Amino acid sequence: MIALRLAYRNLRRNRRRTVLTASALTVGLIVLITMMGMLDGIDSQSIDNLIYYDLAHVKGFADGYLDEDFPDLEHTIPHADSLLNIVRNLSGISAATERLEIIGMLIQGSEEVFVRIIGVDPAQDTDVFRTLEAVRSGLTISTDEPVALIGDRLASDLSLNVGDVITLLVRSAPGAFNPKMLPIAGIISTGHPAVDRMTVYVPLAVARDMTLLPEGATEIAIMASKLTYSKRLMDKLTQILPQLEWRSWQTLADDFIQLARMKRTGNGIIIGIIILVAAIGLGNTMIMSIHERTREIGALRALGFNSGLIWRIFVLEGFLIGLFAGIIAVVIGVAILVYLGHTGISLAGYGDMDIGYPVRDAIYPIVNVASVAMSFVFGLVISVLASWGAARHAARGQIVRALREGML
Amino acid sequence: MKIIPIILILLTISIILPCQAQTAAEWIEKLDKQMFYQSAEYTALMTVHSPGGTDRYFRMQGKVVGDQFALMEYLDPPRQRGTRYLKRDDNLWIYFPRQDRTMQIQGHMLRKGVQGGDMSFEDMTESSSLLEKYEALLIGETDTTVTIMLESHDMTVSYPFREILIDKRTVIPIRIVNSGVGRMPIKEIITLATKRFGDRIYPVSTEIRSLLVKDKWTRFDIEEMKFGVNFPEDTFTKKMLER
Amino acid sequence: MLYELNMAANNNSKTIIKTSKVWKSYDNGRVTALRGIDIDIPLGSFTALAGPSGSGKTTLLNLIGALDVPDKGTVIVAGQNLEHLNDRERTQLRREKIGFIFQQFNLVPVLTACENVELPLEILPDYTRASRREAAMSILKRVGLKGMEHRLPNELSGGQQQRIAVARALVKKPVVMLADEPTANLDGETGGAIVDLMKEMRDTLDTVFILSTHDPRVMDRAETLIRLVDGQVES
Ligand SMILES: Nc1ncnc2c1ncn2[C@@H]1O[C@H](COP(=O)(O)OP(=O)(O)O)[C@@H](O)[C@H]1O
Ligand SMILES: [Mg+2]
Repeated sequence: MIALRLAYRNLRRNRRRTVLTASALTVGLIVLITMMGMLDGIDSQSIDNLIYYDLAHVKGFADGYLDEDFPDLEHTIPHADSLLNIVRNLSGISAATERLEIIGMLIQGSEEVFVRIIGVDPAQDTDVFRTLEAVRSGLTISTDEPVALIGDRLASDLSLNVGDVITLLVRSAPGAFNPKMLPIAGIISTGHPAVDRMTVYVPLAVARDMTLLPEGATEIAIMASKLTYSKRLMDKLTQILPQLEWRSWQTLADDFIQLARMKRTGNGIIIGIIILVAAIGLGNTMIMSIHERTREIGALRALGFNSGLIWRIFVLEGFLIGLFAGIIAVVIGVAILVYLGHTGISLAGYGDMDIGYPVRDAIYPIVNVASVAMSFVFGLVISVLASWGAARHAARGQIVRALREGML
Repeated sequence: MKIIPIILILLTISIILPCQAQTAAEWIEKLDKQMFYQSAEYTALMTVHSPGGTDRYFRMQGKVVGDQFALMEYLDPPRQRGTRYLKRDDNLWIYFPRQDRTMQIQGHMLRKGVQGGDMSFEDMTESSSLLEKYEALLIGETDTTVTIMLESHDMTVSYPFREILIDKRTVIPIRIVNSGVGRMPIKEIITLATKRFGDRIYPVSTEIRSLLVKDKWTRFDIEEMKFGVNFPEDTFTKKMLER
Repeated sequence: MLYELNMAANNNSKTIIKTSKVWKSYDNGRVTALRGIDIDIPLGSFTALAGPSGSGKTTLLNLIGALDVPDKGTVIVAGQNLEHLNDRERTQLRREKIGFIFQQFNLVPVLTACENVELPLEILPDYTRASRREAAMSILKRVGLKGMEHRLPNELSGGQQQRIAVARALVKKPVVMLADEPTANLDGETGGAIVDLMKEMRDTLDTVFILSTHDPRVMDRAETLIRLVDGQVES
């Protein structure tokens, strides 16, 4: 108690110094909180994009399909419709659909580009994915009529518009080339760069026709009833339909998750340096504080304060600076995040640059309590650590010297 | 990469034979048969033209024995120099001198399109007769040419429909149009020039033109060609590939 | 008067502090501060430790106050041989039985007069917040600082500050009070008053006072005088 009071009073007495020291730490923590909020925002947007435009909650593939580097028609699900019916009747599943993905070329005039061509079932794809609802101009796919939807980035890269006719060149599953000419019904914009930049959607029937797989699909995509998939559901699927390989979005998004983690570490290092500088400042302040108060420390020791108590006074000073800095940083940081969460951070300035996340247009930071709390605790820990050495020095000094020379 | 068309050229090289009215199958058989020769050695220049881009040139040297063995090496550009292809029956290997690495193109890899799906490695190794997989129909005839439609019900062939315009006199294909499952034309192969080698006439300039991508073509000009070469026994071995 | 009665009652015999053959040097023996000090200080005494600057007064007080250990010899305080105490026990001894007063007062600048006086009680068990406050207020009243309890040290004069220091040292009712040149930073009159205050306190609190000084006014007021010259007691 007395240690806390002494620590607090000393900070108040040296208000200017305390504020300066805390400010450095506050700035570091604000940067940390904002950065974390941005990364949390990107993560959550990315995950939404991945789930709703690409991965669903769980997907089932034909054996061997996942071993290939590219979607490949040698490992498709032959009677996907009947399997889908079985899946749909399982409990714990809110929706399911099938998709047929082909790698092919989109040809228009003198342009040809690699694209993913995804056959979607117009009747049930929207139960699982939001892709077909992401049409920005034109019409979506709602029947088996042979039309295509293409991503807005792809459209602008190739100067394509609704109504233009494109040629898709693919090899059928047996191997024969099977080009198709399709009019563009609509242009979609999802915010998932892989979708917007290199994907063409066609009705499942058309894709089946192109691949010569009348009942085929490359995947069965499932939305679980609960927001997150459960291990139980995966086990159930594996048990009931062992002929398929089942994967959760977490597994499928592994690359992304690794990347996100890496980016976090990368950013962490930069922020770590900022905070280290702040911590050095804090440690320095503590050394100054102790230096000025050497006689006082000697007197307290003479009065019977033990070295542990002296140590505690100074560590508490550091802790209080950290607490003060942390509270301010949380208030300001959260305010920044809330504000940016509203306005969004536009990625327009970056043009078509790939930021490595399945996110585009704008980042919307979010306030993740765990991240904010972590940053706050991190600030406290750093403060305590920074004052630790100085406090130890104060606690260990010779009393007699402290009193006589004002030196420890 | 561009050995494929070379093989195609060689596939289309034929011996001049005097001819009478014949059925479509007979024409194809003749084409097939006349493609076969004991051995040849050549150097050729390949020009790759991409729409809007500049032309790229590749010079290569090749040795061929029947439809069994082939060895091809890039001479130019420097970046490709020394890259070799070896075909032995249905197997295909590529040797990259920079990495000193040999890769076998196998299984479904053969299916993978070379150059954006235009052609596959499979085309490079295909050595069976056209009539094994196609039915031939005579769909047109003039004084000097016949037009034959090859149709396949086997969907493992890359082009289920091939229309071949043959010069009756030389039995050289003037133009081949390859089409996909729905009969949509994908590309054409045109003989631009022929040359007499002794008592034979061969195409020495051939162009493969995409019928889907505007202004995209590749041309092969044979600069030198020698028939009836006796190659040392170890010419078509992996040892020579990696030499 | 009272003191003399006490002395009579105790027959002047009860020794509270005893040093024998105490040696102390600094800087690895380059400076010898004390050369075999033998002193006996009886309970209730008011002793001045006189001597010129550098004669070893502070060193001796520090040894008695368990702030430091001698190179040789024994120091016994309140029946305890300091030689046998470890760090923790010496701290304990200071906390419970010894009061210090310094030349520079050494008050905690961020605490009020009252809080400074309460400070020694903070680290003693058996004190509640209220009882600490009460003890501090009552002793502040006795040193004549009533009404100044909430002032900070820098709002007070030197004499007043030293009064707080006296109060702070006395509040826990120590057995031994050690004052190292308590008047050196005060003018003559104020210094005299401080010594009078301490003496008055001694009379009511049954505490031993040892004051180091080279101020004749202090020596005059002392009941016993020990003279140190060059680290030795002058007979
Ligand atoms: N911590 C110390 N380190 C070195 N020398 C010291 C120390 N403390 C005291 N001394 C020396 O010991 C001698 C006695 O000092 P001190 O006890 O302070 O005398 P006084 O209090 O009578 O002035 C002096 O010569 C002084 O310089
Ligand atoms: Mg001294």
